[in-house]
Formats: sequence, C-alpha cells, structure tokens
Amino acid sequence: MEAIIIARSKFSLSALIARIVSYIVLISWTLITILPLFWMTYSSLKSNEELTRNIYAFPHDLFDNGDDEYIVIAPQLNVIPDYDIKKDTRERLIIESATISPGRRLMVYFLVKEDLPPELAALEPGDRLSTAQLPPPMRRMISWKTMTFNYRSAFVRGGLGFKFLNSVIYAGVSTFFIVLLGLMIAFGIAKMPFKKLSLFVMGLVGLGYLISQQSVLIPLYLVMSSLGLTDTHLGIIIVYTAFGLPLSVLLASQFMKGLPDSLIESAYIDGASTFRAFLSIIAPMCVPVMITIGIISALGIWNEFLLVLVLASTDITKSLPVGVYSFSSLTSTQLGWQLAALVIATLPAMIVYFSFQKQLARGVVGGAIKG
Amino acid sequence: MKLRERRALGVYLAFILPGVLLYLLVVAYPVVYSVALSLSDYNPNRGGDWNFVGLLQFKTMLSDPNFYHALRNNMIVVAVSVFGQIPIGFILAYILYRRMVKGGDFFQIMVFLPHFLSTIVIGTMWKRMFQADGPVSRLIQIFSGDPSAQFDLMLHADTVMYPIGFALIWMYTGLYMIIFLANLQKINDSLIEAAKIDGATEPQIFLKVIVPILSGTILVSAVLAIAGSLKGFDLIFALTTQGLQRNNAMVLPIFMYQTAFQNYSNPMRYAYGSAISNAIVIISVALIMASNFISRKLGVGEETY
Amino acid sequence: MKKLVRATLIFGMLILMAGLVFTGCQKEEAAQGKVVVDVMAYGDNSNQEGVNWVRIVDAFEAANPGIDIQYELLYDEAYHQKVVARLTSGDVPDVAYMGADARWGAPWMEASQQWDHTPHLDAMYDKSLIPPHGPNGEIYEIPLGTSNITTVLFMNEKLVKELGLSAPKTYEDLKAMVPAAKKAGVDVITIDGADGWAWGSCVLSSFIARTSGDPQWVSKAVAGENKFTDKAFVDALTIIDMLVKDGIIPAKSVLVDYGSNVSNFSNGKALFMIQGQWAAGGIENPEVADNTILLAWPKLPFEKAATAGTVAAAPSVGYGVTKKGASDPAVRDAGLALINYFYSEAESTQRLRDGAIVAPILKNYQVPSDLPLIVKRKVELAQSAGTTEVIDSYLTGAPNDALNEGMQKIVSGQATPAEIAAKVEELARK
Repeated sequence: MEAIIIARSKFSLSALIARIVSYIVLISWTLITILPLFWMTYSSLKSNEELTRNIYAFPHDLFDNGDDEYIVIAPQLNVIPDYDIKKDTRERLIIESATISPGRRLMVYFLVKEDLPPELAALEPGDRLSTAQLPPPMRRMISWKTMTFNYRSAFVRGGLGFKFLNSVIYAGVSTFFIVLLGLMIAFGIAKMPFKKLSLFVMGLVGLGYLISQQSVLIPLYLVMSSLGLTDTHLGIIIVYTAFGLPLSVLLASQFMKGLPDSLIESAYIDGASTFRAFLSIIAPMCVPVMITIGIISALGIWNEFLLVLVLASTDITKSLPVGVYSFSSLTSTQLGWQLAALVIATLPAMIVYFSFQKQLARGVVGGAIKG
Repeated sequence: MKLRERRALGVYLAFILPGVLLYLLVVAYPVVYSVALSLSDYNPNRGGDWNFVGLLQFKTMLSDPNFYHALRNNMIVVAVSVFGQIPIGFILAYILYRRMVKGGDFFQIMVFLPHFLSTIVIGTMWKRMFQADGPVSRLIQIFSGDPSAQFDLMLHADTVMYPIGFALIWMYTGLYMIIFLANLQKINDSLIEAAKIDGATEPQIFLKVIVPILSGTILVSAVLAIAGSLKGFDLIFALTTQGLQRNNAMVLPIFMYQTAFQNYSNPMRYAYGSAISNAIVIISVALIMASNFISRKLGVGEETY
Repeated sequence: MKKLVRATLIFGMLILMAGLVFTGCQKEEAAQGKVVVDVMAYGDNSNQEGVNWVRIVDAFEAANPGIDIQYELLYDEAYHQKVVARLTSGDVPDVAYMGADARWGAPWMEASQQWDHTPHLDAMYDKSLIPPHGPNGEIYEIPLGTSNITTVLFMNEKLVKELGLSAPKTYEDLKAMVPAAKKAGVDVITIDGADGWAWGSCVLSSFIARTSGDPQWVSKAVAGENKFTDKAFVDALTIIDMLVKDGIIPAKSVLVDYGSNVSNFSNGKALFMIQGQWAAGGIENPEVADNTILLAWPKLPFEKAATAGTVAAAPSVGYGVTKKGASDPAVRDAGLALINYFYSEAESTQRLRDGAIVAPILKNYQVPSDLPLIVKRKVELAQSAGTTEVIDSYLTGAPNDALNEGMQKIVSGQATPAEIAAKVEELARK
C-alpha cells in the first residue's frame, strides 16, 4: 500500500518538472518565432526614413499624414506621369513628398489644376504646400496612397501579383504530381511483388534526395536548354516534380509498409484489380501521409529560389521568391519595400498553414483500421 | 504461370514507370554529367576538350584544408540534426500526443511554423538580430552587465556552430515532430492503456512501448536528417555574412558553391566543384548505410502491432 | 473522404490546365518584325539603378517602335549566378552589364564573349576617359562613368565641428578625436565590417598604395613582381590593426552590415563613414547629407610621399554588346542604340544627380550648376585626388577571400598582419 503511494507522489514531482520544462521550451520557441515576424510585419508599414531613424519604433509617419509637406516640382526626366499624357491634356501640378523618399521621385502626385483652388494652382516649382491645404478628395487619395506606399510599391514594381500566381501554379501542380506519382511508386515498392526490383528503384530514387540543387544547377540548365524547356512553366514544373519525388516515395512507402497486407488480400479475393485496390482502399488510408507530403512539398516549392532563378528568365515565369529577392539587394535603399515584399511572400504560406493545422491537429486517419 | 507473372510485371511497371522516368530525365543526366566532370579537367565556359584525369580532383580535395574544415562543420550539423532535432521532435510530438500540456494545438502550430518561412525571411530577420548592438547583443549586455559586449560567437570558428546549431534546431525540428505525430496517431490506443494499467510511468511508456514501435520512423527520419544536413545550404548561407562568418560556418555545399561559382583563380573549378558534390553524396550514402546497419543490429522496423 | 479526394483532383486538374495554357501563351510573342535584343541588366526593384533601368527601357522602346528589348534585371549574387548559368549553357545575352577587370570581366573573358566596341564607338563619348580593356586598346564595355572611387572617407562636418574638432590631416589627428567622440557617445569611424569585401575594396586598396608608394602595386604582386609578404603589404595590414587598437574603428564593426553602416552615419552616430563613392546617394538624412565632405585618407603611418592623398578607384563597369550580339548586324546596331540612349546626356546627368557616378564619359559635358551638394563634393574629390588600383580588380578567388576574411580576423583579434600576409602569398602562388 505505502509503496504505491510513494510511487505516485514521486510520479507527480517528476511529472511537474517535466511539465515546467516543456512549457519553458515551448513558450521560448513561440517567442523566438513570433517576435521577429511581428517586427517584420509592423515595420513593413514604416517609411524608409522612419526605419533609418529608429528601427524598432511602431509605425507612425505613413499613417499620420494629414499634414504632410510637399514640394512642387517641374516635369523632368525621371518624373513619370501615371496617366496617358497623349490622351489627358489637362494641366497638372506636380508635387513630390518632402519627407518620404525626398528627391527620388518615388512619391509623386499629378494634381489636376482645374480641381485645385486658384492659389494652389498658381504655385511654382520650389514652393511648398501641405496636404491639409488640398481639397478633401485629393487629400483622401494621397492619404490612402501614403499609408499603402510600401505595399503598392512592392506589388507594382516587383510585379508580385503575377509572380504570386506563378508560385501558386508551380506549387499546386507540382505537388499534385509529386503526391500522385509518389504514391504510385510507393505502392509498387511496398505492396507488390518483385522485391529485388523494388529495392533497386527505392535506392535509385532515394539517392536523388542526397543531391543538392547547386551541384546539378549547370548540367540541369544544359538539359533543359537542349529540350527547349527553359523559361517555361512546364519545364519548371517537371523539375520541381522530379526533385520532390524522392522524399514523397520515402515517406509514402514507409507509411504503406505499416498498413496491413490483409486489406489488399481481401480486396484481391473479392476480385478487384490492382488499380482499384490502390484507388479505393490504399489511397484513402494514406491521407495523413498525403497531407504531410503535400504540405512539405508545396512549402518547399513555394519558398524555392535557386532553381527558379536559373530556369526562369522573363517575368512571365518568375515566381514569388525571385520577386521578393529583387528587393533585398546589398545596397538597397528601400527597407520598407523589402519588408513589405517579405510579408507578401510569407502571408499566404501562413494562411495555408493555419488552415491546414486543423487537419493535422485532429489527426485525420482513415476509418478502416481503428478498433 | 508466366502469363500471370508478366501481367503482374506490367501492372507493377505501370505504377512505377511514370514517376521513375520523369525522375531519370531530370536527375539522371545532371548526375552523370557531374560524375564525368569530376573525373576531368573540363571547364564548360571555355569549351575545349574533356581530358580524363582520373582522381586528380579528388586528390586535390583531400589535401585541401578547407575541405576538412567544411567536413568537420558538416558533421556537427549532422550530429545536431540526428541527435538534436529528432529526439527533440519526437519528445515534443509525444508530449503533444499525450496532451501533457495545455494548448497543445497552439504549440504545435508554433513549433512547426519556422519551417514555413523562406530562408530569405529568416536570414533577413536573424542577421538583424545578430548584428552589432542588435537585440541579441543588447540581451547579452543586460545579462552580463558589460555595456560593450557583443554577440561575437559567429566570428570565431570554434563557437560559430552554436548559433547555427540553434537556428537549425529551431527551423527543422517541427518537421520531425509532425512526422512522429502522424505516425503516433496510427498506434492503437489500447496498447498505451494496457501499459498504464500495468503501472507504467510516462517516461516508461515512452521508452518501452512507443519508441520500439516507431523505430522504423526514427530510422527514416534519421536518413532524412543526414541527407538534409549534408546538402542543406540555404539556412547557413542566409544567416552568415560573406567573409569571416561564412568561412567559419563553411559546410560542404557552400564550399562546393563558392568553389564552382566564385573561385575564378582556378580554371578547373567546375570539375573540382563536381568532385566535392560527389564526395557529399558518397559521404551521405556511407552515413545512411551505417545507420541502416546500426538499426538492423538494434532490431528496428519490426512490426509489433 | 471521397469528396475531399475528388475535390482535390478537380482542383489539381484546373491548376494543371491553367499551367498548360500559360505554357502555350509564351510561344507566341517572338517575331513580329521587330529586332529583339536580349539584355542582362544590373539593378533591383529597391534601388535607383533598377528603377531607372525600367524607365529607360520603356522610354527607349516608345521612341524606337522597331526594337523590342527583352531584359532580365538581377542584382548581387543572383546576377552573377545567372550570368554563369547562361554562359555555360551557351545562352549568351546580346547586351549585358559587365566589366573588364578580374571580378566583373572574368566570366565573359573565359567564354570569349568580349567584343571590341572601338570601331562602332559613337562620337558622343570622350574616348580619353575610357580606359582600354584589352591588350591592344580594345574597349569591351562602355563605363558608367569615370573611375569608381572605392575608398572614400565621408565626414559629417557639422558633427565634427560641434565636437570642437576639424578635418584630420594625419593619422594622429584621427587618434586625437577618440576621447571627444567617446564622451559624445559616437564612433569616430563606422564601416560595414561584416562584409568581407568592404575591407579590401574600401580600406586596404588605399593603404597598400600609400605604404608602397606604387599606385600599381597590386597588379604587380599578382603578376609575381611583388610579394604579399613584402613590408609594404604587412604595413598596410598593420595600419588596420592600429586603427582598431587605437579605438578609431570599433571592434564591433565586424558585425555591422552595409545598411546599418549608412544608417549609423545618417543618424549622426559616427563622425566618419568608410564606403565607396556610390554610398553618397544613400545618406537619407538631408541635414547630414548636406554637411558631408568626402575625403581621402589622411597621412597614414608608413606612408610614402609618392602616393600621398590618393584614393583607390576601380575601372567602371557598364553595358556592352557581347560577341553573340555583335554577330547579327541588326541586333548589334539595336544594342548600340540602346546603350547610346542609356548613356545619353540627360540620363547621365540623372545618374550624376542620384550619386551613382562621379562624372560621365561624354564629350564636352557641362556639369549642371544645381547638383546636390554632396555630388559636387564628390566631383571635387575625384578631380583633386590621384588614383590607385583596387585590390579585387586583380586578385580574385581563394587568395582574395583569405585576404578579406583575414582582415576581419585582424579586427576581431584572431590573427596578426604577418600571418594573413603569409596566407595570402601562399594562396596567390598556387
């Protein structure tokens, strides 16, 4: 009797320590993960000047823009109208921000003179004005554009909208084939005869996992070049699929080996063809590993940079990481834009991640095995 | 008899071939090219002839101190992966599976999240954290009371692998945790219940019941970890600045990359680089075969349902 | 479960079809009677070069409807990787951003793609301002501007005066500034020491010229006439050691990156900044920028009179037509037209204003009177200081890496100048 009581109290103490340690580890992990991301997100809403002044402060300048100072400038080489000058011939007053990227022609507005009060329309280059002096519609437009300065610049200059679409296509199509072909090969290896051959295939495909992308970069480019597949969506998808197969086959075959053969035997006895057995019985049971492979593959492709940099040359085929990287140069002068681009690239992955978490957390397991 | 075998073979090939053919097309040629290149002195930029030079490139590599430096660092990375990420991932998965902490779902999300960030993001943020008078330096200054202390672990070759190892564990453990979690959920609950009725404590359940069942998963994870460590390039490249930091933290893939793409003083750099990348594959295979051998000795992978 | 599988399959099919449609779309562009020029451009969406490039191409195409410019705009690592990939596989661009020295010209030289522009050089260029690139005076690219000064000491004059100090004339003057700076809580000199190349290009290149008295010491060393273990080179490295030991350059600068360096200076956290002349355009704070003077290094220990007051300048990079581009006359002429437009007076003036170049290479160029102060001062420095070689124009690969890393080691107290000099010498002779 006493022995059991002592054993139980010992159990509680060590369990308590274990729990405390677990909490410490998990909470620190969370902080290390979240804090930098939090910084990145709120900093992407700051202007470059703000970031240079104080890199940790909360955003202010871009939002408190009711009274921003602007300078009137004359038309110049690097002042690019945002309207078609041939079609729209109304006279414009060109103003540039005096506080946000002054002098770089990045924050320039072309105000139609007709819509301005006469004293403003008569201003000469060099004069200053404040946004508070402008008519409300203009003030609101400028205010909105100021707040979204970093994100608009990132999207427009980096062509991120289109690159986003490309990333979705690459990740989606490649992952689909990685899962499909991976499961097929795994099924052949794990559940069908010809074990010697399977071992060979497994080794062959597994070997591919050991190959880093840098080492095959040049010859891969040569192969794709000779097939005429460089700078095409199809070529990039083929490459991603091929590189994603080893991991897929590895994980899926290990999972399938754990599934009892009895199920398939009974299916065969019932007269089902191999293909039927695969589709109706095995595939549904593999959903957990399909999700795992799917997420890992899609994620790897979404964030992949080197292969797509080399294989894609025109904006039509470039994907999001390349677009994001174009804001990260060593001598970059627009940290705000870079952070905005990083957020744009990270946000979708986060959204997908948080949506799929429920699937993973609930542990989707095919109904057939339990009990 | 023969007909049935042939039909079976046909079905088998129907399942295997599409994927394998695609794989061979994309991966086989570059690999063969790379092997051939490592046995020659060819420079694709200049054209000219392929001259077979036997193991010259490999000999150069084996007498290059930079190779050994990179190899040593890589072995540390492998050790961190196999003996750090996998056990930690496994234990975390077990803790979450057995619901030993509250908010398991939330923590699961947080631990796996780093894996979803691109290395550009991580590099940008962590470089900022490690720079002079950055957040990490400030923390050190507060804790040590020395206002001029800096985070200079990355400047010295013998301490650089600590922050790198930390970053590696932070980023990749989530993956193994998820793999173990998926496989844990396949286990029949009744086994655990039976163990509990027999009076086993949590650690005992973990060590005596769970680990043996999932030993196959451990092996697969170890193989993945070894392979990933030896070809992993992005994270270390992103965390270090070019120069002292990167040279201190040099691992084989970065060594290969710098040799082949940047070392203009060596006209045979492509061939030399190929030798290095082939050496990486050989080392990976050796390590994986070793782990297979060890696990077979330990009786891993037997199904004990 | 079945519904999920079916939904996923349908979704996958849709994406697949979308992908194939896009693949089909790409084939159609090509020939519509236009001359297509394939350009590898250097720039980035976040800096002036990239922003200007996009604008220039749009304007050029609008003015030349018969020419279609297909370009790829990359920067830093990505640019070099892509160049290497394309050259090795034979997919050579028609026009590209290149140089003629060991760092920027090596891939093109290896691939034999350098093309002599002299027969087709437009009259708008001042040939005397373009250094020869080839052994017989060939010109392989049109430089963006006259020599690219890499060892500039930017001084925040206002801050210096506030501390009761004045522009340093000797090393001792710099040393004397340390106590006052410490009291005010600022650094004397800030440098982006985390980047290895900064030490070589922005510091040592000038030091070695000063200590050796020979503006061409480096190229001679690479050719074997000098040794890196010679006293002059070891002295140059020793000066770096002295700068750190005397507190002029803080040891923590090895942890400062490019962006932080410029922002430290912009925020008035340092009296001086070390960088190349291109950083002038990056000083965000107009108050600081207007009060910035550009100096050469003052009189240094071990300095020889012959090279007093010199700065190191690299031959400028720029755009050039490749051999492949020149093989088709129509493409060649279109490429040259683009280049001439890129270097036109209006565009060159814009680059001057942005602080990207020191002076254009155009004939009879009139410097506008309304340039920003800092640009004017840059021109003054360029006109007054003699120039010497930059190290990585001649030394590349393993020895250069060892040198840059070695200097970082010296600064962080892990190696001595003599050790580093010996290592560089050993690697340079392999």
